[in-house]
Amino acid sequence: MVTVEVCIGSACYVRGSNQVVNLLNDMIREKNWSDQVALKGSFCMKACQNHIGLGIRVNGKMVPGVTLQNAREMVEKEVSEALA
Amino acid sequence: MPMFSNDSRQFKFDVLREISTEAFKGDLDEAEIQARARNMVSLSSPRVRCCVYKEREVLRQRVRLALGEMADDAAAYNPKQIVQVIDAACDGCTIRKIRVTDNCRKCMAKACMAACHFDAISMGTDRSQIDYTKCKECGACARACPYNAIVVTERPCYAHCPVQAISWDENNIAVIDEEKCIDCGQCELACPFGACEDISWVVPVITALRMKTPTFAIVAPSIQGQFGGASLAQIKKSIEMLGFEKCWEVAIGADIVAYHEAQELKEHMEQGRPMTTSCCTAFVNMLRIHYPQQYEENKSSLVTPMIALARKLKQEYPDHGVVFIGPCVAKKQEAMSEISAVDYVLTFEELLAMLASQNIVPEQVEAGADSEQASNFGRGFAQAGGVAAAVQQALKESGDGPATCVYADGAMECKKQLTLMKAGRFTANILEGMSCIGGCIGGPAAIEQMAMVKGRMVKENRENPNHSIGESLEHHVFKDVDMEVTDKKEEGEAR
Repeated sequence: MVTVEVCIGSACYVRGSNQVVNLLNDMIREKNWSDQVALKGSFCMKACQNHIGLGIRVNGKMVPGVTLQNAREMVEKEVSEALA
Repeated sequence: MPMFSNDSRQFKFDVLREISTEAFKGDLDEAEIQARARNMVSLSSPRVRCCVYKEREVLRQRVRLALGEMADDAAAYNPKQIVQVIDAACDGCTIRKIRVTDNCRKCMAKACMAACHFDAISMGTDRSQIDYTKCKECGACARACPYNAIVVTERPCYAHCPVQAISWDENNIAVIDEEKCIDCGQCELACPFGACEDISWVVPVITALRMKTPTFAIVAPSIQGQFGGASLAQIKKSIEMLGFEKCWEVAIGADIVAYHEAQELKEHMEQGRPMTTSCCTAFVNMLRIHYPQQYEENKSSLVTPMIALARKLKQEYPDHGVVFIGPCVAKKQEAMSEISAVDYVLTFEELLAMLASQNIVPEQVEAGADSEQASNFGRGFAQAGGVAAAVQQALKESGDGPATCVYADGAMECKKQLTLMKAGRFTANILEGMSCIGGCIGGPAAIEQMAMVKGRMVKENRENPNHSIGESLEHHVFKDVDMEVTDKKEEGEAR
């Protein structure tokens, strides 16, 4: 099981983390990953203070440089690697 | 069924309820939300403004605020400015403070002309006239007129702003000066068109709950009695039914703040320096922005009860989110404008909208016994005079003598007492400042009438087993929780 956590603290919310949740839900559905990937919410993981983009963790590891635009692509890559 | 007697507040509530309903369903898309919300106003709905297009624009801006965006599309996101003007909703009202009405009899005495020191009044063809280039808005003419024909009216937002942060642009639309605004929310209470409103974070909170993110709700003491006849235990249970893991009373934080504030007061008394309380954020903002010297010298160094309890919870449960729910707009600014232990702030209005969207009626909820109660002194922080009373109690419990208190009821009175303090003419030991008249129960987002709430509180608190602050703190231990504002200068700095 791969855990993907998305920060829904206010600094990430304003940069579109709510839409990222929708995008990742779509991704999980399209890829038939619902048994292998758990999407979770999280509060501030200090991504805002460290200026590394949206706060996203895959299996507990921060994924730096995520934006609303590249979120699906980046998380898909991380999750594929974790599943492999 | 309408829940508010005031139509503009009811409309705000209806929008929040709609957004909450959609957010609980999930997969929220802003364009879709706007499209769906648009149905709230139609050609056949009763007209409250000049036309359906204006109503729709007001609605669109309200939806933006409810989604946690700035009312003005062009404005950059700024969580420091909680209260914003919905420019489409602003009526641009009563720019001229002094006006002559139909009551004018064009009398012989012409008391108005005699009373005017600035030669601004002359007699026109059917009534007296004011030359606004000369008028100084002193109101002498209005007082002199035997027919009450001259009226003094001020824009409600401007009249109620304690810090003169409101002015208007060339189109007479209200503008808030962000350098002066203390986010007290008085303009929100005052505006009859509901044009001054606070930004809301219901959507991310609901997202967190929907995704089962472990989240605590911490509720302001003024929540007692706000939901009909529901007991505090029923209210807490209702909140937990929304998906919060547990609901805590901020009055627990108030107990520890009262305890420490009493200790600090002793130092202040030894040095002959009056101390101001620190629990009301709008009052603290007033000190910080408008009385910086008193902020440095007189303000108690303690955090607010909200932050105290949130820090304790974050220490014990680092992975949990903390959402504060209160009657207050300034608390949003306190928690959201900088990184704090509180992740989000909601108001009672927003809570009611969330409960209504899930058909939860607190009065009908079954609740068991409540084991996590604060003392009645901590709960007293919700009411005028309650903070100083709690500090007095804490002094008494530690065996120290009474202190003298002055209570400033409402922002205007706070300003008066702070001005006295600045001039060195404040003689008591404690200044309890509350920005809202009556205390938090008179807050801009309170739901019930104050008198009703007071009665319910007294009745419910008789049953409380915690008779002293000490008893409450024996049960709720704040070990190694930092109780001081980290850096006074940094308070209020942007996130």
